[in-house]
Amino acid sequence: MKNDIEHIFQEKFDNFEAAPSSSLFDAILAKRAAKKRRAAWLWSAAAVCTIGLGTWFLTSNIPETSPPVAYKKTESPTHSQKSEQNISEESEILLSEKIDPVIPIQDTKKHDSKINTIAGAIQSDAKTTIQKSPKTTDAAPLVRDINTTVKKDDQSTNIVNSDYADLFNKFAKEDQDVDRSKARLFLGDKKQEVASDYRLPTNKNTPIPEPKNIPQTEAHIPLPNPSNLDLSADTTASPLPVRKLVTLNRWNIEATAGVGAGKGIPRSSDPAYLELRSTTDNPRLSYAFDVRTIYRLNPTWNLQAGLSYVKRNEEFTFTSSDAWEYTSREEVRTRTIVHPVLGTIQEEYTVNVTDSALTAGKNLSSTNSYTSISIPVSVERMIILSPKWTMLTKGGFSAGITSQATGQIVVSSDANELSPLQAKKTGIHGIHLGIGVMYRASDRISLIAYPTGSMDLVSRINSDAIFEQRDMNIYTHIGFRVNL
Amino acid sequence: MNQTKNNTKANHLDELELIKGCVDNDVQCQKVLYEKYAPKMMGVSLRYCNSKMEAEDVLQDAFIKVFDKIKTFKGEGSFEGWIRKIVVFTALKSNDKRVRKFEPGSLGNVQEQSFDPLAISNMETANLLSILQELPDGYKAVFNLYAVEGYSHREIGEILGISDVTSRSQYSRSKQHLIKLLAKYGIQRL
Repeated sequence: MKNDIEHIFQEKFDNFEAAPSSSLFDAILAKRAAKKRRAAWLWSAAAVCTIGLGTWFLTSNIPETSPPVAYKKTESPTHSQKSEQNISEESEILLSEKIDPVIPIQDTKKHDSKINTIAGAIQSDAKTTIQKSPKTTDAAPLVRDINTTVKKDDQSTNIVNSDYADLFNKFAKEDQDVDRSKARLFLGDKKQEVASDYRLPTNKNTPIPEPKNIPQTEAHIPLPNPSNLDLSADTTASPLPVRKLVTLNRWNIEATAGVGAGKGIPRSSDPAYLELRSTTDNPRLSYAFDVRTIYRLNPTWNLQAGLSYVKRNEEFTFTSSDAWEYTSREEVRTRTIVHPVLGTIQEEYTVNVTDSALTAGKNLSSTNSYTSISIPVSVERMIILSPKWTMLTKGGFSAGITSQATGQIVVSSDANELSPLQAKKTGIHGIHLGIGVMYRASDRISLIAYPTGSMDLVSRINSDAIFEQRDMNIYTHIGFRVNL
Repeated sequence: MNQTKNNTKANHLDELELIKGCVDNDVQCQKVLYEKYAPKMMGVSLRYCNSKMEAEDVLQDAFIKVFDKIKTFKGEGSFEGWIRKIVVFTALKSNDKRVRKFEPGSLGNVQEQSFDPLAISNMETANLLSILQELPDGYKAVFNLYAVEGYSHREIGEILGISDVTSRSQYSRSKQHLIKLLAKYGIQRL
């Protein structure tokens, strides 16, 4: 009897059919097509943005001929140890490594190389501001010669030294304090700087000078008057620091480990559920590990891609409310009918009785964890604060590979107990943003501290659940970056 | 002419070929599949919804999911059961907010009422559906899942995020409510 109603409804509805509107299939196709178009549009927009940004990065500030370089200070031999051969060898090094963009100058006579080397030695030492410049009447023709010589050597390279020439003219004519650090040498399009401490090549007709009394300090050194320089003089005691260029590879590898915390942001159409969840999630210490390959686009912009593992922990606490439990049963009862003819009749009948019981609320808790593996792709901007310290900012997209949620959770506002949380999903994509600092421990190895925030763009919970949940995390990554 | 030929060809495909065609996004196969299962799934959808329009919205969303996810069908169990599950879950999700509001309700007036099984059996299914649709959404969901779909109370608890005890008590109440509604339409045990 108890099961009759189930049987009847099952029989009645098991093969029940009803015709939907004739246009429904067309509506399904149209909606699917619109969904695909929207997805295609989003991907196209993302691709266009990526290509546009990439092109902009590549064209805005990239050296065309040489990879990024770093200066390494080395001790040079004294002047007495510099034979002509040595000078010549060093000229080769300097010209090939440091002044690579001004190749036409390299083609000049060896005599010029000597001049360059010595001038370089002088100005490497006097690398910063020149406070007081010497008077020279040869300055103007000297500058003219620079331009003329370069143009003669190679018209196609078109090295223009007008900034430097203007400054030098000013220096020569007015004999005023000149900040030499502001003088820079550019290639023809003025976008590419040749070298920040490039040495002024001297006129090949000028007698080869030799610096005298070179000070050991690097700051505020006046430029010696070339007419006073004598190559034949012996300058034994003064070791000249020479800046040698170390070419850095564009490729770097970074490995970091981070600790932090995160929170799941639930979404549901039931406000009561959201209110309930605001009291139940308690963030716990969480972990993140990153390995990335970094490609240096130019001295300020990097592209990164790698593998990221994140494990977010939380303590889920929940106090269930008092609940009434109802159980149904059938009870046979007897009633007495007093009939005027038949007399007293006892009749049995069955009734459904519902028993109720009160269950008191309990404090329930569960340690939940959400783990995920993803491929982060980021664009990084470097702001050099000092030779050792660099500020880093990065932003990017994480393509999720796999994600798993384990633990227990409340799944609806009227739930009175925890339900298992065993969601496994792929494609948990997200975005991330970081700002950190990098300390250059050596030419190749840097230490980094990189606080990074991330947020999911899709739910971590399986699609058949009645709520969505996206994670938001903040981790402080500590690690190192190695230039390959 | 060509389309008619294609339709005829698709109609003769067996289910496996039909699924394969849908995986390849073949519109003809999708149409045949839809025409094969849509009436039955509309019947399922109607039981969970309050109107035909609502049921059609659910059916539309469900078939979009079917076509999107058909490549994940591994052939375990019947294909009809797989589609039916998608329709049921889509209906529950679309009625999410209403389904989850389980009103305690009073059982006092219905405890003594019963029904005549024969009278119900003789009813038109459409009329029975109208009565079923009058049930509050929470009751309707539990009743459909237990009495018609055949899920256990533990499974219903997992689906709806409630305990199996709550599911049991909700089912009991929904049944009483249904009997009360049947009584309203004159179906009562003598």
